[in-house]
This record gives sequence, structure tokens and C-alpha cells, in this order.
Amino acid sequence: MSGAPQILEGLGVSEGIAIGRAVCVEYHFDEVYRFPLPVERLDEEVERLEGAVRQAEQELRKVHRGKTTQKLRDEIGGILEAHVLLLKDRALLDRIEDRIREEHVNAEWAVHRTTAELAAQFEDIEDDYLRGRNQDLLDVGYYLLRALQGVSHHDFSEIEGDIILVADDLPLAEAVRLGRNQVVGFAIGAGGRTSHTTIIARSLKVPAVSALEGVTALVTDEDPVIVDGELGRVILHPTPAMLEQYRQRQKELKSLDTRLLATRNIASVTRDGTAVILLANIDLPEEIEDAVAYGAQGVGLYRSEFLYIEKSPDLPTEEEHLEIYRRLARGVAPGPVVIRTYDLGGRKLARELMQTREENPVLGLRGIRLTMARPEIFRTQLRAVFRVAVDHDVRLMLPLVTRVEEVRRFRAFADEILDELEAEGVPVQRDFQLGVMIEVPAAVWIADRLAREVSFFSIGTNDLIQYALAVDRNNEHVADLYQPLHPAVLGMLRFTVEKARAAGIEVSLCGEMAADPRLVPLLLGLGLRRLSLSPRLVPAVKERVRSHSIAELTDLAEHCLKLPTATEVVEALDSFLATEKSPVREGPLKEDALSLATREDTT
Amino acid sequence: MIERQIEVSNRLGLHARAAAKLVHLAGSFESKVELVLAGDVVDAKSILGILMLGAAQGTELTLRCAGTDEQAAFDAITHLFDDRFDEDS
Repeated sequence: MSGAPQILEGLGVSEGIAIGRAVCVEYHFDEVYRFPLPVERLDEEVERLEGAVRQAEQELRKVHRGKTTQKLRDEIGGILEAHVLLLKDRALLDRIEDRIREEHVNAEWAVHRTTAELAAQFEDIEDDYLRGRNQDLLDVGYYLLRALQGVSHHDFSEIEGDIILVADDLPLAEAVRLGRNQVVGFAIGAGGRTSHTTIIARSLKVPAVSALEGVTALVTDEDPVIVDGELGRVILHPTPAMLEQYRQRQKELKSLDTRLLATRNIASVTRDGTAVILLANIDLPEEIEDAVAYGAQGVGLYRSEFLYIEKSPDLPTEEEHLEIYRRLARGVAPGPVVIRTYDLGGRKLARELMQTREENPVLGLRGIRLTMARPEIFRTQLRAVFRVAVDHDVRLMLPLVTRVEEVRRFRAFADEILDELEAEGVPVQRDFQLGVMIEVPAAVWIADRLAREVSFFSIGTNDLIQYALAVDRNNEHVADLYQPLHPAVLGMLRFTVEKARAAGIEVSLCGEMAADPRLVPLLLGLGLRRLSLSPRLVPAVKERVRSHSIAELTDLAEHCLKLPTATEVVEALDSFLATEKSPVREGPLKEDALSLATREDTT
Repeated sequence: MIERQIEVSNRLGLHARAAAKLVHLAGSFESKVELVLAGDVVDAKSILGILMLGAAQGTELTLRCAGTDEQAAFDAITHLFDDRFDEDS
């Protein structure tokens, strides 16, 4: 269908431009209804079921053959094969057919009830992993229901061309799976700037716009769509002129990217010769190639929870941890890899692990609190880190630390694990490097005392801003108040840097702030010399580093620290940048590069 | 009929992929092939039954083969278990 162009304003959460056709996806499964059938219709219903089995099998085979990487095929091939066998298993089908005939009901109901009942029987299985295999059965039930209801499965391998995925919200695993395949852009209803879906989109270099409330109601499958991750816009039914304009911009961005890639071997130093170390934030191990390609000097933040999310519902094994840490360390050697211990704050997986429901998870069991509450899970990760650290520069970092006791308790726990490994005759690195995230105002305030316990700090601005300003960054209603340049935030950054310097330990910044080239002058002026950011943004930030001298930036920061409002800080930065001779990027820079700060004007 | 104890020795136990291999193999023989665990008898040609056994690493099962090619079936399946379903290297 076609229509007039329509521009939807959202948040550009992953840069770049994608042009494609819409595919709307809903992840809430339609309710299954029970219809009584007359006896004479039962044969027909059983035939419908058999037809659905054939169709579901065909779809599965298509997925299996679909355009994916060899690696992905190896991973999922055996499981898909098992699903095909289950789908055709007479033991399952006979039960479903019996139910249709005995209860005189529709096939959907019989499939739904039978698979649910059988899945429930798995609950008695002792082994966690095998008990979780009822998921395979539920998946098969899902394929059958989809086939019966005439809805195609959410696998796009059979769709030709570029797909823009439109959804209200996206389960994380789905985002990973789809982003790796045909999906070239995401248009998401929910979510703010730093939700996990957007992090995934960025990692996979898929342009994404979020906070498009009600987007699925506006879009029909096959609609032509442009996702403009730069301006945070989604354009439905673009005119030919718009399409042309965007294709042009796509080309420009590509050549810019090539130019920036060429900066890989240029040193990251200021005009007056101060080295600024640029590190990469990594979620998925495959990003390590990007980190190297774009010139990152190490990994400043590996968010290890992604390993747990990818493996969910299983837990990653010690060997799986080990393999990923080695891969990262080898990729950036001799640079360091900072592994942040898993931080599943407020997430569903965390709630499942803990079997708790918290009223206010952001203020609850997350970060180091969660990890120390489940030592048996933490132990696996730590064993792997201590083993890898023997011959690689991997460092450990604890999230959400608010008290010195947490560091001490962690050290005692670490000693226990080191002893255990040594008793097993496994070589370990006893003298490992330990750091803490500074992401809660309490940690800022005791930074001098924390500095005596650890060898580095990393400032996590996303959470620090959220906790300091009492703003949930994912809540669209208050997202305007999430101001990275709030005077309180700047003050805390300066304070933390000073305390780290006084104690002679390293301090880096790994939040979103480090990734905005326009904020780099201010961060350097505040005394930061290590920044950790998305690999793709390293070249742009490096160019920024190279175009200033520390002396002028210190003055800029001193001036900004005295300003009373975020708006005035933005103005000061803008006028400073306006004097620039060679802007970092040409073309329509995000109009709202500093939008989160400037939006204050509207409130 | 041949009947003997076998052990599930692969790390993940009889999960989906391993079960799929077993079903394919069992299905290639004429003989009836069954697994017995704690009184539950399941058809080794049905993946559903195998999955529902929930046989983890270290589980002792009884393998029972009966039919014209029972010896060949028994040997092949024992071999698959001994090889840990080609999973653990």
C-alpha cells in the first residue's frame, strides 16, 4: 500500500541511514481460543493439523537453509533438526489428534493444551539444562500455532531485500538474531537512548530510532520506510525525492567512515602532545574486530552480562567465559581488557536468577550486590578471569559499588577462589588488577577511600546521571531531564578525577558522554585522559582530541564548572566549538547532538 | 532381544541435539529400540520421549533392542553414547 509521506520523530539511538521495507513484529502471542466442533468436522480438523505440520516443517527447513553465516548455521542447525523431529513425532501428534477427537475441539486449542501439558511434565526433571529443554517443545507448539493461524514465523530469511523491523519492543535475543540477518534498520516504539536494544543496534551497526510511541499501529508490512538514525526520524512512504536525498546521504556517510577508518594508526594526542587513551566498549565478542579496525587501544568496558543474556536460559560455563576473554585479549593485545562483572540490574534474567520481584529494581539488587548475592554464579566468571589473567592483560571491574566493604568482601571472595584454583594446580594471576565503577553519587563522595582499595576507576556516566538527577533515562516522560551537562554531573566528574589523581590511580570514563565528540573538549578539560566508547566512534573522538590543546580545554572546563545551568554549559561549548577551523564532520550533524541538555529550554 | 546398561557421558546429557542424533540413528534400524529409566520405557525413535526422560550426564539407562538387526542397532547406539554424541572435545 502507499500513502502520503509521514515523518515520525523519535530518538536516534544508532547512527546511520537505512532504507527498506517494513516488517511489523509483535512478540505477544495471540490468545488461543477453544472452539467446540461438531463430530463430522473432526476429520477435517485433523487434516488441518497435518497440513500445519507440513507447513511448519517447510518453514523450519527454510530457516535452516536461509542466508546466515556458517557459524550461526552450525550453532542452530542441530537444534532446528531436533525441532523438525519433534514436529513430526507421532508421540506428540497422536496426543494432539486424540485431543481433537476426544474433546471435539479446534486444532489450535489441542496444540496449545497438549504442548503446555507436556512442557509442564519437564518440571520434574532434576537437571537444570534438560528441564529447560521444554522450550524446544514450546517452540514447536509455537510453530504449529503460527502455521494454523496462517501467520508466518518471525524469520525473515525468505524475504528478499532490506528489512526495517518495526516493533513496540524487542526482546534482546531477538534483536541480536535479527540484527545479524537481513534487518538493516530498527524502528522501535519503546525505549530511550540507552536501552539494551539500542546498544545492540549500535554494536551491529544497524541504524535505529526508538521512542516511536504506537509505531506498529502506523506502519503496514511492506511499507517503504527510511530510518534516519542521525536525526532520530522515521519516514513512512517517502517521496522519490526524499529517497534520493537519503541515498545520497548514505553514500556520504560511507565515504566519511572510510576516511575515519584511515585514522586508525594516527596517535591519539592533543596539539600540545598529551596522550589520550581511547578504549572500546564491547558487548558482543565479534565487535573486537571493529575495535581494532577503528583504532581502539584496548577494551575499556566489556559488559559481560551480554554473555549471560545470549546464553539464557542457560548459564555460561567457565570455558565459555574463558574463550571470550581470550578472544578479546588477543584481539587488542598489548592493550588491556577491562571486564565488568555481570550487571543484570533490574532485568528479567536477574529476577529469574534471584527469584525475586522488586518494587524498584534500579535501587535494588543489581551490580555488585547481585553478583555477591549469587556467589556460585559469580565464581564461574571469576575463575575464568583469574586463569586468563595469567598471560593476558585482563582486569576486573565491579559495577555499582557504593561502599568500601563491598570491595573488601569481594577481595576476600577472590582470595578464596584463587586458593581453590591453586589447590587444583591451575595457574592463576594472584596479583590481578581490580577497579570499580563510579556510577553512584555515594561512590563519588568516598572516591578517595575507594582509591586506596583498587587500582583504577571507571566513571559510568549513564547510571551516575540517572542516580544523581533522579531521572530514569528510559522513561520518556522525564527523558528531557536526563542532562549529561547538569552542573552537578560536571562537579562529580571533576571531583572523581581529582581524587583518583591524588591517589595515583587511573581513571577513565565509559558512559555515553565519552562517545559524543562534541563533549570531548570538556571531558579532557576536566582532566580525563582515558575514554571508553563504541568502537565506531573512536575515529571521530580521536580527531577531536587532536584538534585541541589541553591548556585551552582546562580554561573551558573551569568556565563551564562555574555555570549555573546545563543550557549555559551547552552554549559555552557551542561557542567554543564555533571557533573550530575544521569541524569533525561535515553535513547535517545531528541537529540535536546535545539535545538532552538543550531540551531544558522547553520545560 | 539385547538389553544392557549404558551411561550418558556427554556433558549436556540427552538434550535436543543429542536426542536428534539418537532418533536418526535408531530410526535407521528395523528393530524396536527402547530406553528404560526408573521404570519409564521410551521409544528411542521418538524425540519427545527421549527429551522427557531428562537424562543428564552420568545417568545410567537401559538400552533395549529387539528385531532382525538388533545387534547392529545395539552396537551403533552404544557407540554413539560412548562417543558422547561427538559433542565434547
